[in-house]
Amino acid sequence: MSRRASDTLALIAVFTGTIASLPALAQSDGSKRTVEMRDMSKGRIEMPLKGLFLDRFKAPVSKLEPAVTAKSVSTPAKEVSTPAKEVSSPAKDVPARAHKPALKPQQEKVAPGKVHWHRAIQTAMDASKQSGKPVLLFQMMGHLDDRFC
Amino acid sequence: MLFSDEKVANDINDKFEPVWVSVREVPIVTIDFGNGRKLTRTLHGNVATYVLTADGTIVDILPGLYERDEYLKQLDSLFWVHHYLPSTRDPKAFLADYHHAQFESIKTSGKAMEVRPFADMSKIAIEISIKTILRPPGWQSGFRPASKPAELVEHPDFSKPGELAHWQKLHEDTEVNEKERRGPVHAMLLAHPGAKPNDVTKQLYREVLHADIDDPYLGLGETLFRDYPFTEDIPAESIKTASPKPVGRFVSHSPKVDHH
Repeated sequence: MSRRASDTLALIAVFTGTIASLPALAQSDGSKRTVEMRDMSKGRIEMPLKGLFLDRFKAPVSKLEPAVTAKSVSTPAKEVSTPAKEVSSPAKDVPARAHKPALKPQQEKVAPGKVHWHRAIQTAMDASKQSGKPVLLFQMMGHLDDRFC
Repeated sequence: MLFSDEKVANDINDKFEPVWVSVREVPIVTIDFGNGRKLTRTLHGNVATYVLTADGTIVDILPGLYERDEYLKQLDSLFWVHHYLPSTRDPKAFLADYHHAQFESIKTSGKAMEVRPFADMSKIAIEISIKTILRPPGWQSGFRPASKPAELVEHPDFSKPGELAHWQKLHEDTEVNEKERRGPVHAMLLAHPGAKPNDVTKQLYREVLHADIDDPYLGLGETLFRDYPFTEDIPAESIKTASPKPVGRFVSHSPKVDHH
C-alpha cells in the first residue's frame, strides 16, 4: 500500500472512528456485492464534530444491513413534501474548486416519519391561525426526507 | 426516526402545525472498501425544534435531539405556554418573564421549571402570569406513581422506532440539551424579544449547537485539515479567506473558537 493510500485510509478511519473494523470488513467478504449500511449512529450528530474525532467510536461496526428501499417505507401523507427554503443555505457559499466542481449526490428519498408536515412555514402559520395550535418548526441540517440526514 | 414513532407523531399532529426546514446540507461520508462494500453515514448534523405563534414569534426552542418521552414532555410544556399567551396582559413581556425564570432556574438548580397546565382558562379568575403557571422542577412527581427508569442500551435495534427510547446516547444527549444548551437558548431569546426563527438561527447553531452554519466547514476546518496530507485538495478560495499566513502544510479555513 502506498504512503498516500495509507494516509487516505487513516484519515477516513479517523473521520468515522471505524479504524478497528476496517480490516474485518475488508477481509470478511470478497464478493462484489454492494451493501449499503444504514446510518447506525444518529446520536453522534448531536456531538460537536471535534468531540466526535477525539472520542471516536468505541465499538466497531459489527453488522451489515441491507439498504432500506423506497418501497419498504410507508407512503407519507399527501402534504408531505420538501418545504420551501425559509432559511438561506449558507452551504451555497462554499467555494467550489474550479477544476473539480462538487456534485451533490442524489439521495434516496424516504418518508419523513408519520407526522403530517406542512409544505412550508407560511402554510403552517396560516394553519395555526385557523386551528389555534402553535407551529412546530423542526430545523435541521440535511433533509428529513433524505435517507441520510 | 423520532418522527416514525407512533406516539410522537400522534402527539405532534394533535397539538401542533408541524413543518420542517433545512438550514444547510448535512456532511456525508462514504467509505468505499473497494470490495463492493460501502458504508455511508452523516458526519455532523444538528437539529432544533422551535415552537412558534401563528405570526412566527418564537415561544421557545428545544436544542438538539431528545429522547422520546422527554421530547414529548417538553413539547407539551411549550404547548401550554403558547396556550396561555392570549390570556396575558402583554404576551411579549410574558415570554420575557418565562425565559428569565427558566434561565434562572437552570442556572441555580440545573433544571427548568415545569409548566402547569390549565385546560379550561375560564375557571381561572386570576390573571395569567409566569408565577401562575411555573412550578419547581419535579412538582408533579408527587402526584404520579414512581415509574421504573428505562433500561438503557448502547446499541439498540434501529429498525424499531420504539427502541430509541432505550438508547443510552440519546438519553445522554437529552441531558446535555437540558442542562447545558437550554439555558443559553433562554438567554438568547431573552435578548431578542419577539424574535422570529431567521433572527436567531445562525446564533443558535454557532453558539448553542457549536456548528457554525456560515462556515463551509462548520467551524471545524482546523481539526479537519491539521494533518491533512494533500494540501492541493484544500479549496484555493478557502485559503484566500483564511489566515494569510499558512502554518506549515495546513491552512486554517476559519478562526477556531472552542466553545467547550
